[in-house]
Amino acid sequence: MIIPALLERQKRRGGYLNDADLRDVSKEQAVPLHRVQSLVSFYPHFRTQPPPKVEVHVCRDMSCHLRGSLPLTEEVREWASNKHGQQVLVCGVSCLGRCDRAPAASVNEQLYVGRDANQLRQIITSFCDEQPFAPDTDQAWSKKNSANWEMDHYAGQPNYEAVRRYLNDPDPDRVLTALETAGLLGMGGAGGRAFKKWSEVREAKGTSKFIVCNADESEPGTFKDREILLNKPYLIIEGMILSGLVVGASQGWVYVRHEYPEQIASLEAEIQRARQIGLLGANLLGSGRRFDIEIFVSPGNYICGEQTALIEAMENNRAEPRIRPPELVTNGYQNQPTLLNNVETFAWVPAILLRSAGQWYADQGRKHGPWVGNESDKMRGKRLFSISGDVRYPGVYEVETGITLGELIDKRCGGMAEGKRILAVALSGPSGGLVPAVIPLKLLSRRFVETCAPKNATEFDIRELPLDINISRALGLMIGGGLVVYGTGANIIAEAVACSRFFSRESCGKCVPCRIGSQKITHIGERLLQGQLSKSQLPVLRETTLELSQVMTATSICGLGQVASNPLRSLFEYFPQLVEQACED
Amino acid sequence: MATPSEPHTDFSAILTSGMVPPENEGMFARDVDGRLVRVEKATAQDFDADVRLTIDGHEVVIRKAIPTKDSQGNILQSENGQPIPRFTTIYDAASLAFVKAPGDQHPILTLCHQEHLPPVGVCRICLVELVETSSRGTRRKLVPSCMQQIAEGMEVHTLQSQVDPGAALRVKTAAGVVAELLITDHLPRSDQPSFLSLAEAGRGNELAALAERLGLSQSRYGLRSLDRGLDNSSSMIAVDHNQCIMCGRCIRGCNWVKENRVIGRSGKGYSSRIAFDLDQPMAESSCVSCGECAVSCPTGALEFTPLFLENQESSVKKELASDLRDGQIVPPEELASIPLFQDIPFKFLQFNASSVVRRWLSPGDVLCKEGEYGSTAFVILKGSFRIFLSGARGAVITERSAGLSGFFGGLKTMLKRAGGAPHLSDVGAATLDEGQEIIRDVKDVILGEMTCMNSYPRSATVVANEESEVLEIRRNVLYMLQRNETSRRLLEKAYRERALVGQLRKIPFLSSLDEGARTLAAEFLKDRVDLVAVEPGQTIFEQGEIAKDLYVVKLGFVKVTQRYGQNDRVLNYLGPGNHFGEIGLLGSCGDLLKVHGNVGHVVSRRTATCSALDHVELVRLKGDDFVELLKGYPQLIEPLLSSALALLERDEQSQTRLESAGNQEFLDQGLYLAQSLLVLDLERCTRCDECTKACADTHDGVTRLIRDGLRFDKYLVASSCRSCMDPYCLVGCPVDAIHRSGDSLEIRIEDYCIGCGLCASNCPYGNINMHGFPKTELDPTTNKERPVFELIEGRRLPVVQQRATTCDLCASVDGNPSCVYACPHNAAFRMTGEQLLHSIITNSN
Repeated sequence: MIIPALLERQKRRGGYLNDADLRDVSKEQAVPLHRVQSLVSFYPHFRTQPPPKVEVHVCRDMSCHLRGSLPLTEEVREWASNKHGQQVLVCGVSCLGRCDRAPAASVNEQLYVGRDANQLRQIITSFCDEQPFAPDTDQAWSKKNSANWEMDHYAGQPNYEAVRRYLNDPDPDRVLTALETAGLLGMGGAGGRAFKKWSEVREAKGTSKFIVCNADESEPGTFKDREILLNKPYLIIEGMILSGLVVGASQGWVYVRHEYPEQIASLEAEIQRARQIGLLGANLLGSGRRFDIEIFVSPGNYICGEQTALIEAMENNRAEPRIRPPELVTNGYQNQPTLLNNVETFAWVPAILLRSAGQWYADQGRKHGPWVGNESDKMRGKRLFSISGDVRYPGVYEVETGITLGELIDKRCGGMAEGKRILAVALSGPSGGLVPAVIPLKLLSRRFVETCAPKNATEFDIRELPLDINISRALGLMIGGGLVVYGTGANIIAEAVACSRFFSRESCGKCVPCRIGSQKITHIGERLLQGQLSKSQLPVLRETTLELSQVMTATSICGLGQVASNPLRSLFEYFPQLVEQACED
Repeated sequence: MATPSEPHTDFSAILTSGMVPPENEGMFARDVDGRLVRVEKATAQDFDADVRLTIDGHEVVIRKAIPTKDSQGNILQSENGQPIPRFTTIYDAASLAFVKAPGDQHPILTLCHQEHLPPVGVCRICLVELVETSSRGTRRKLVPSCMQQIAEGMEVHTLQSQVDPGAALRVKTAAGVVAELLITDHLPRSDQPSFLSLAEAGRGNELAALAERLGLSQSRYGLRSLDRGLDNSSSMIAVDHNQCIMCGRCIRGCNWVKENRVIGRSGKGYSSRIAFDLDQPMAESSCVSCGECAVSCPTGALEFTPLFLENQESSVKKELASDLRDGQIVPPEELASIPLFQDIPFKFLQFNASSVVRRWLSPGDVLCKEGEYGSTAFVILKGSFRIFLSGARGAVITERSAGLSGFFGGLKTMLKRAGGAPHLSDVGAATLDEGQEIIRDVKDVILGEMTCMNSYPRSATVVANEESEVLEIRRNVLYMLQRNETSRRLLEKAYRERALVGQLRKIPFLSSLDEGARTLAAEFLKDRVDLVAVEPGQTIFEQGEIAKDLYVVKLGFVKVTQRYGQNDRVLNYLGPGNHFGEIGLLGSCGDLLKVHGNVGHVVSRRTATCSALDHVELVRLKGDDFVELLKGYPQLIEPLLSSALALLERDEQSQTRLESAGNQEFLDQGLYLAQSLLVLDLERCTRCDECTKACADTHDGVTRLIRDGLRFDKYLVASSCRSCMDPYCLVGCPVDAIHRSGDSLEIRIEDYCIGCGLCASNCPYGNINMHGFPKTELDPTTNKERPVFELIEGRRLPVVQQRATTCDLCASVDGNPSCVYACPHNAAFRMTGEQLLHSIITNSN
């Protein structure tokens, strides 16, 4: 176990690893030095130099970027370097998952949100004086978010009823049928049918089977799992136990990002409690069945959220996505059948089983609407959205599948902030690119327009978008758990380029199209942003960008590379006037 | 890249619309019933399973699995001696279907893939469009052909597909854009900023060659924004991180081919790069400078330094001059244009620039002499050669002997001498009878490769028959030819046609046939047998197993052991020309043997375990074909049966005698292979160490022997080179600096040894040592060697170079090695393994 060994040494050394540590680990673990180097240089959590006295990380993505985190970082950095020199390091980092309180920053791994330059300066000074400011917590902020979620059938008083019922009368097929009736989809992004994956892992042959909960929520704009982990950890645990019982696994892991310390503590406490009351361990409620859960804290990197990369990280390798086939369902962790689901997918399972065997969940969902067409029956259930940016009340909302974006903004988020209009929406973090308030029909999937568009429609108002993964896909739009709304005043080109930068920074580097392509396409964006392009160059540049984008999507190994070009591509496709205005004559 | 006149590539067939990424589930991840298939390791059954697929519209039927091969093209075998299967990939299938001869263009482009390396699929250049049609509909996707296993009903399109031009265009555009990204960042630039230097294309830069094949001459993308730096710390290999495309070939070469485990990946994303150990400069890392990484590198990222190449060349020139040999060193550029060498990495040819020498011969000129040790083979470019045995007497008879005198049964062929030199007519490439003469020409491709591979003496004399031209190649170049599928096929074909029939004719059990029948039987077997390579220590078959095949030893030695209770005992050692496995096989012949009665003793299971002592190559005859043979030639049955029964009986008898000799260790230590052991008679030796001092005095103050080692009775076998019959140390030297030549037993280590230490670790007896020597170079003005100095912290210090040393059988005043000459007590001797055993047994009696 090289990664745990390195983490342990880093802790002992006081926050970094020196040459001797690395050589010792290589010897202890009987691995070549280059294996140790490959991990230490890949995961941002490892460092080979003593840390400065105060280290400030400011989020540079999406909502934080929109709130001016870049100039903020620059301002504070300049001040700090003048005032404190080498003692204080200020730098930008990828999304910290606090988009609802942008801009987010961490100082020596303590969280500070929604602070301006003045406040940050005070906080830094307090750390320099060794009297640190009290950090902000998710706990203080988040109670209101989840109070009335129907996801929590226990209303905060969990007794693991679904597991108890199962152990009294174990019938895996009943669980699978309920999931199928409910129509629960995977909440990690791909939207596969949950019952199918569970059945497949159940049928897969192996010497043992494993359950993994993907809590490495690192997609900019996405923070819904953060709230479940913090406030409803028992739902995740119960969903995992049930999945273990159904597929025949006796060990599960929650792979969680290290920027979620409160969430890790909350989950850890609930795991301990569940063990004490016999719901985790060698003999679940005296049934003779075994299932236990451990927490695997990620050493960092967005790519770890990619399911095969996550398994690579758990196996002490660089988190580089695998080439498929094989699938994790048959050849996952330790080459054994592995069920990997997102936090939210597991969390819905108890409510689905406890409320009319899935029928209640199936009955949820908006079945009507102008752009629903003949897809209405597929819109089932409820789901969580994290929404941030220029809305009045950013947060996590449990909504019926299929309500429109306009409804979510107006009825749940209190409308747009400061009376702004929508300029653009990112529907799936940066992954789906930026979508304008109004889309000409010719830019939507022609087949969808022919079958589902209301008569006389000439364009598509993004507020009318039903929040459903299948309809969005049919339209040619990607929808995920994190929505970011950009209102009047936002520099859309700057925002798109920032999203593009995110992917080029987070590329693991394994395959060429993503490693170099994401760099080149961002470079095109940077030139556009800096006004270095002329109108005469535009047609060729547009062609080049679209071709590069298509090739990146068609040839990259994993989802990151496949969507990495979307921010720039959406800019050229959906915002041609803005692009033209940004060019010189 | 795309000019307006070219058709527009339509990606809509493989991409979903708008911003939605395509489905990520792997292609052909499910079976026909839609169930996900667990990927297990390939099994032996997969060798026989046919898979039907189409590539570019051509139907191709190929076995589901092919044997796993090592970097030399040898088939890897499991512990029970069976080839290890691996699943056939689309790339393999395309190779088998479309690349038939060296020089045929592969329809799939590659960068990060090399046949002998495990595939990683990271460069995305070898992508092909794969179509999957099932009850769930039709899916299309670009997949890495180097990794995707073949499956029934696959439809594959490469960039050449004429049946689906849309797919071909997508494959081509995808490869074009990926290649364009790579050249933008990783090709060195000429002065004109947007144009790329393609001058490297003919000089082994595979990226430049790829760009040329795809018609790319410039990039539309922004320049590289990061300087990843140079590492010039090594005097042998220059590292240019900016040219590195992160294909991982060097990493796999270092870790997988050579098992040196120095190179890995460091960093993440755009700034990731290769690193040595903990990202040290190459010269400060644990790198042993074996050169494998540079040979593996497809770009200019790892290049041999000009200084290193010059030094290599000048030492070979020196060697040529000192050996009074004519010939011209063939430059790598020229070599690359010869089809047989075409697929060999340019940098390998460069690394071994001096390993190929062109020679012209006039009629009557001798190419090589029977009995000489030679570490080279000859590629025939022009003309023809006569091959014959030089000595008229003592042609080798391969026979199986019984009892203790037959202890070295298999070795017998080796040790019978004719005219002073070992006579090996049935071992090498040429299979000749006394007085027979054969002619070889260009069609035979190669001569002398057997000697080159196994370091045995030349088996025949070769003389030019007309004006002829050959390339004399060293063992490492021959190894490289075997790494390459197409070159390898050529070599194997030549072997089957030239040597195999002759070798099969000499199988002892065929001796009861008359001349004509024997040739017919050998012809019958020729196309039915497999050629199998077995690594040292591997089991060929195990006692008690059901017998399936019969084997003939082509190269190396096979150990035959039998289990008695808890103990294993050695029954025999079988050398080239011997066959084994027939006892078990006879038992399974069933009905065929009934008429002959007395089959009671013969069992269908293996009566002994056979394993490889050293690098062994075998000819395998399958049981079914063996039965066919016996049906065709029933007169073979009787002698086979009686010899089998006699062998079984002999094994019983010899057991006690073998045990009384008590020399298991003698055998285990491989002393039977030794041709020149330094043996000290401990009853006479006073431990004065004069032998060690004499050795040191003779060899620049560094001793090459240690007065310690195995003891047998009163004899001590000192740690000094034993001049093994088949020296393991010769295997794998990256620059072929260690070899045996002429008719001397001496294992010679040339001055151009790069100090990688491979031979030292190969020698099972610890008789090769690494020593630091002051480095020297040729002074161009005086034409003499002079020491090389470098400035370290302001001080001018001699450069120390590691070099391997071993006993060179130095001849002192009386013709004996100096250690023997120096012994004042007459206690030191040089003798062969057999002589030593004889002394031990005589002494103990």
